[in-house]
Amino acid sequence: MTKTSESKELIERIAALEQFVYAIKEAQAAADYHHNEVVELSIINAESAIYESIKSLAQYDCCQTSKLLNVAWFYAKFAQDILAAEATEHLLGQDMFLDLVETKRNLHNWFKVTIERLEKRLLSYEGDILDAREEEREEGPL
Amino acid sequence: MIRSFDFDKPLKQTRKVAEELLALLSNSIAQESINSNENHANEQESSSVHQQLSHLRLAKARRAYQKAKHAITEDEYEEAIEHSRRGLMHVDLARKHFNSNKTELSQLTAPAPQFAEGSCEESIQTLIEAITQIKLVAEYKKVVFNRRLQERLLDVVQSLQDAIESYGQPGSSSKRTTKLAEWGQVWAQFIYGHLTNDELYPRTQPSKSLRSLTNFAWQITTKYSSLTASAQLKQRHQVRAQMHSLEKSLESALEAYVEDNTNDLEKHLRLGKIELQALKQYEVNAECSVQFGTEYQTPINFNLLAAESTSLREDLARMASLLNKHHPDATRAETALEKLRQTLSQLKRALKEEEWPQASLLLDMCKSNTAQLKIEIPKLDI
Repeated sequence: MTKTSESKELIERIAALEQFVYAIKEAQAAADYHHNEVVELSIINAESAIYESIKSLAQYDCCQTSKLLNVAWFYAKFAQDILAAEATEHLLGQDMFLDLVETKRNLHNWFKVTIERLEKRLLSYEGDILDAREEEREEGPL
Repeated sequence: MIRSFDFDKPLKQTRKVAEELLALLSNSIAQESINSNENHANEQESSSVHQQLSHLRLAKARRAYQKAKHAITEDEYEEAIEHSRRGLMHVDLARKHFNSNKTELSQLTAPAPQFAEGSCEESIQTLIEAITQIKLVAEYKKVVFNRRLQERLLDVVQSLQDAIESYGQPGSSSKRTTKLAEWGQVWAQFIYGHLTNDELYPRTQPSKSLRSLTNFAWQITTKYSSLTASAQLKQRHQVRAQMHSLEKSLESALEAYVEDNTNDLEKHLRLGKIELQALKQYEVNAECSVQFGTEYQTPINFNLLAAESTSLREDLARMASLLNKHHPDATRAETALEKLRQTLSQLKRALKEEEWPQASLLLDMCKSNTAQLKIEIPKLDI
């Protein structure tokens, strides 16, 4: 029996992972009910790790190539799991998705709400000051 | 042609080898290009092959060819050989993609690697599963996280990113990667406990210390949930303060674990367990109230942590860190916010001491700094 070369095995893994990531990308594009930034970032990171793995394999570094393929796998698996969870929520739930990163939309809302809260607090302090001055005027010197 | 090439075989870094490899790459690209065109002409269903991936790899192979050719013209044979090898790998991948069938994502399990028990890879995988589990449960139960829990969750996701990045670094330490992933696992248990009262991991975790940490994180949340669900509990503020203190103990114990400081780890866990006992007292008290109470009270099933909101002071502190992180030129915004935080606390003092003219002056300053912040916030890079 002939032994498969280590590089050939790694190239097989690269091809399989690349197809896996591609399938996730297609699934993400189809999931138009929610744009998930974590999934998007994970896909980018997985693709980048695959690219780096080819570079290290070309330099005969099979150990680092294997690690980079694991990195790609972690990102891809994470993205796939999140997509699957969101598909479940979309089919059986009410599209109430839990964001795993601070989304831009959430940050914008948070700043808006915090400034509104601050202004409301200042308005209440202004009311206190005006009331006190009013009282002072009423009790003013005879 | 490409099929017989041995990628494992070390090559001499000579002009002859570089030129031979360049020729092999050139021929392989041509052959693969012809193959894919032939297949296309045969009207093979394009959906049955990863045509886009195949084309992408061929394009990369052509770029590698150009780089290798350029390196040879510069007499850089070592570089030329590396580019050619990379190009040949791209061609091999293009061929594999073109000849492979497309599979639905749900049925695609091929690339899943098997990781050794107790390895750093397994720790990362466990953390991925923990985060996914939290997401599934939170969405199923329609839980809206409060700010504190949300920030914990963001930290857990960040720990996954850090662990993967650390793992991918050449020559990185697997111990550091494992610790990063385990840090995330413990806080994931803390969050999951709040959602379900359940344990997230099997009781057969390989590390005894990690097991005590996840167990402690779980116990805190279980005790807390049972207490806050009790309508008879009168000392809500005290329980909340106790909870924050327990969270701090967990934080310190975890920090000691990450730093391999076994003494401190055990000390903080012991202190945490003492505080847990105090929570039990509140529980006993709440149960006694049920026994001796004269009026029937409807259980309110009230989760203190979920209902807990952050103070304006805490929000302004968070705003400072967000401005620093996301403002392209944060100085002006940070100055306005810092002045606002100072004058706001002076204003509160002036109001309390009924120094109205001073309060009025400070209020104007607060308003002016708020106005400045409102100008700066839209400039954030978010």
